[in-house]
Amino acid sequence: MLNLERYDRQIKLQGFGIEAQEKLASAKVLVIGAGGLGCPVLQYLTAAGVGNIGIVDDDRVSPSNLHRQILYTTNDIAKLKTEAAFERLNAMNPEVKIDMISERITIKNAVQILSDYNMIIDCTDNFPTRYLLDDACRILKKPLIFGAIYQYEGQVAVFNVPDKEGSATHYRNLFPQPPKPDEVPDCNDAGVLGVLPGIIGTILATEAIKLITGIGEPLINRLMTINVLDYQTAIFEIPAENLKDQNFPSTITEFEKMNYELHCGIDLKGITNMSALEFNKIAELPDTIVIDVREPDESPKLEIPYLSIPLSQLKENSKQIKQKNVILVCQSGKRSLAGAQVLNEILGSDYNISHLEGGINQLNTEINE
Amino acid sequence: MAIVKIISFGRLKEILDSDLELEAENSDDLLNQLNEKFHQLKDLKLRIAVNQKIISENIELKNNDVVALMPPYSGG
Repeated sequence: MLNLERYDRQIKLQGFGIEAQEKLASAKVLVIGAGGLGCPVLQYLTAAGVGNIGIVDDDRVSPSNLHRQILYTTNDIAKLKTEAAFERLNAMNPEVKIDMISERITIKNAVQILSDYNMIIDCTDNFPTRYLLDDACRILKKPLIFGAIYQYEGQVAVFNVPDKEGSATHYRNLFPQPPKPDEVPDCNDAGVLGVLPGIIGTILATEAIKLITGIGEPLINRLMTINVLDYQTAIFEIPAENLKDQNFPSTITEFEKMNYELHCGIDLKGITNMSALEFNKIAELPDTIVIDVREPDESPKLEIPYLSIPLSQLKENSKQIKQKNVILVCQSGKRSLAGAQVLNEILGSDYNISHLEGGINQLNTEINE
Repeated sequence: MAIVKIISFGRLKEILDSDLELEAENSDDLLNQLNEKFHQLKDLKLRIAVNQKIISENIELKNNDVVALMPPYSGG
């Protein structure tokens, strides 16, 4: 039975009614990523009475999340995001069935996880996962609502939903090939205004409600961009054309053989991913050097001896490195990985090159635990 | 030759510095000019829209066309 009082103000809407509310109650929506975009999406879909919501995230709450990830409080630091989100959302609306999936989405679990839902919302923060999701949703024919942010700007689009002419587009129709690893900085490295994911996430939730209830005109085969500094918005038509580059999977079997890190130019061969725990043990061993590849004015600083060489100057300065064990660090683990690839090419297999996975952010989270 | 307005998004805003006007025959010609002028643009995976339609092939440009240059964003 629908709780008519709780949803009264939207049931009242012309063009909405009990019928639309019932559609929401029987919808199953999967939100990938419970970060800046995921938080408002989860809040509004829970409040609106979507029957079943899945949350996929393997990350924990860190202090630098709190200015924009408004589901979490200071007391949630170091908790799993799925668990902290569940607590808040369940208190907000216990009528919604919320599934916690505290894993990273991969080629191995994607098909199984996605199969349980009839709509997917991409709130992820990296290209390998975005291309993975796009391929999986295309193969499984699941509607995909896409959102992404950069500093003061956002992008929203709806994929895998046929328009009036029957054609559907995918993220690959918008950006056929992934950018190189150092080409597009993420929120950890480039910064982001806290309200931006709030605005873009709220639009993602709006698109989900429109698609489920059939109201309005969702952004099918169209890309909306917003800049919060000057409120310039634009809507672009995405061409529904056959993709030329065939370097992507078209069946589940092909999908499950993909390597999305490699697909996005991230070559892990010869590079060791180091956890924060290992880093603290190994960083001060003999014949070992820690290199901070951030710009000199970035903080927090490391509390152990290290060499500062910004990523852009790593190539020219690689001769300075005398130690055999080289550990690179940056804020989020993105630039350090790019740096590790650079050094791996120049220094080769005589050196043990590793990088701190998750960066200094991760280091601080684990120390706080 | 047509005079077109160029608007840019994301990191491209920093590279191009401001919206600008250029004279070009078609979209390929315009891209070549931009690559020449702004070396950092080379090899970036950007998408081009002419009058709010994303294009995949070279198209002829007309006076007052608005050409948008868009990079992918990764943040979430």
